[in-house]
Amino acid sequence: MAASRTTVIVDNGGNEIKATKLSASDVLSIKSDGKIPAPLCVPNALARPAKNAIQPPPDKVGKSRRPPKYLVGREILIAPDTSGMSFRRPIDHGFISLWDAQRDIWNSVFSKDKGVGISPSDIQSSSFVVTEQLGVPMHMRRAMDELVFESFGFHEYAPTPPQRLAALGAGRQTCVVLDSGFSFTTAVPVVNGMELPYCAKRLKVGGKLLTNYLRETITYRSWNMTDETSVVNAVKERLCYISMSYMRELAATKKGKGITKAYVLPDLTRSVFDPVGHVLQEGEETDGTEQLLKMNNERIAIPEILFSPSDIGLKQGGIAETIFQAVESCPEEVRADLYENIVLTGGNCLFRNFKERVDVELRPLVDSVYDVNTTLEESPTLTAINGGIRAVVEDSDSLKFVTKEVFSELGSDGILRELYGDEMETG
Amino acid sequence: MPRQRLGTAGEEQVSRGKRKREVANRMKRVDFSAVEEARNRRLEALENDNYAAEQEALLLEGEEEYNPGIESEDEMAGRKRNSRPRKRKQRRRQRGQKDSRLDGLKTGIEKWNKPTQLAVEEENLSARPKSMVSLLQMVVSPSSRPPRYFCSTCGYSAPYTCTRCFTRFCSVRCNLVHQETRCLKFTV
Repeated sequence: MAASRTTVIVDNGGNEIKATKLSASDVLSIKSDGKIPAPLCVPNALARPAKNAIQPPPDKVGKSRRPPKYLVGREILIAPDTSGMSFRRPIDHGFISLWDAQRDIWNSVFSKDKGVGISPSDIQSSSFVVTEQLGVPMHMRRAMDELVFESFGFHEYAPTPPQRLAALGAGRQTCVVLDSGFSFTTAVPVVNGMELPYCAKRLKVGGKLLTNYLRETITYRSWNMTDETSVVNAVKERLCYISMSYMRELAATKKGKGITKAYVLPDLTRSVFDPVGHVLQEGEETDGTEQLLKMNNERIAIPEILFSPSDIGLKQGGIAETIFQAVESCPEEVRADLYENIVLTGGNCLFRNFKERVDVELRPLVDSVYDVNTTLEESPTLTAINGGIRAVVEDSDSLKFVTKEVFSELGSDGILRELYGDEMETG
Repeated sequence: MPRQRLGTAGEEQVSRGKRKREVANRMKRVDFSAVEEARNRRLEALENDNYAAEQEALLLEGEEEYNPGIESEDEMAGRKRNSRPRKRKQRRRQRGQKDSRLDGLKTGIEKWNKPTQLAVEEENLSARPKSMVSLLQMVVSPSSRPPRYFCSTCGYSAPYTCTRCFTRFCSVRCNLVHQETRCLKFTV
């Protein structure tokens, strides 16, 4: 890749897009001072406010503007009323399935006023790094080429597994990346900067499933929250945590030894500054008219699914077993290295006790000749994008660029050959 | 929904006996495969965004579906907001012509829209390059630990099983709630 090109890096997560633009001068300044710029983070969704939602104030004085039918990207973050908002997410089960929605969101991410700021004429000469999950169906593989080259017209692009970037972002050459994201959880062994695709394992539990399960539970037991995705998500993020000994703690909660906490549901007639509600603090006064949501065993039962999917009837091993199965399918000579370098990334790592629980569960599974060492990244959701920035700055081999010329001459088949072909010959 | 169909006003008198028979059949038919099916359906539902339900409701109301061409076109990076092209577009539409510029923009990317499940099912695995792993090869195998069972009503450890649908419950009280709400009386 020519270092003089502007590069746009996008970590296209199921819930959130992380994006950065690096011009040639940015690359130089990162090289000199090593400071990685904070990426732009926006929801990867189109949102439709409820019919009776409070409208945002008109953005320009004197200009009456029809409220937009769909909010895109950053607009969702600043929307005043998220109640009853419905989302249209381009990513379904971890892969892009609504390409027109994805195009519109990227448009907003690239735009000057709401995004990283790259003009259409600059795009023609820019490089693009985008994350693409392992095991992508061929249909999506081809559609991605179409979107990047036909709809946007980038000069070249590198679809890269986010786990490869995360390994770079964590500064490891050889490691297992456990990426527990919004759509699913994967464990991918990375050896010398490249992943071993045939040893990767995928568990069908992600943040979205947890949120939906919490919603189902709350709706069944207390309040009807079917439409309140953002509130349920906030409850999950603020109150749920991973129990270190689940059965014991569960029994204790039954006796009323308490982890019970109350959550004040939002009430927009009272305050518009609290759109998703808040945890009831100790000593906070209530006048009895607030809607209170009592969270008891749900606090530990929801994230427990990550470690024991069989609790909801999903016949797969938990996170520890995902790592175990991934490493055990690797050649024996790299296993010791892999067990010593387990990198935990993805939004679910933000649950309290995540790392401790992985340690506790993994140790008894793994042969005692190996040391087990896990590291939790400082900001687990940004590991992949930071790795992407590093890869661009260091002009790393881990990014395989394919150019528009190849696409216009040979189409998607040519791209496929460039991306996977040479590996095919060596085995 | 069988209940609705059978419950329509005119038929009620005639079909009472029939209804009994149908319900009885349905209750008899809840076997293990039906339970399995219901569980899978529930797991699949946990992957849903609210969008699917929303769209259904929209269609019922007769509103138009999401059409990115008109609104988001202005939002294209670098494109100025002015009224001229819109007028041109309107005129063209009136004349029944297609807006070629809009078509070029769309590049038919929405023709690639496809649910992931479907794309995975339709995939011809032999056509994949060797070094490209497929999803089926990445599945985590079942846990080596025995499954634990929790009450479907309250979430605590559940020693008992519903005789009709194999769902777990912990006490008589929870079982009553379960039978009134979740028990698979009418599924299949």
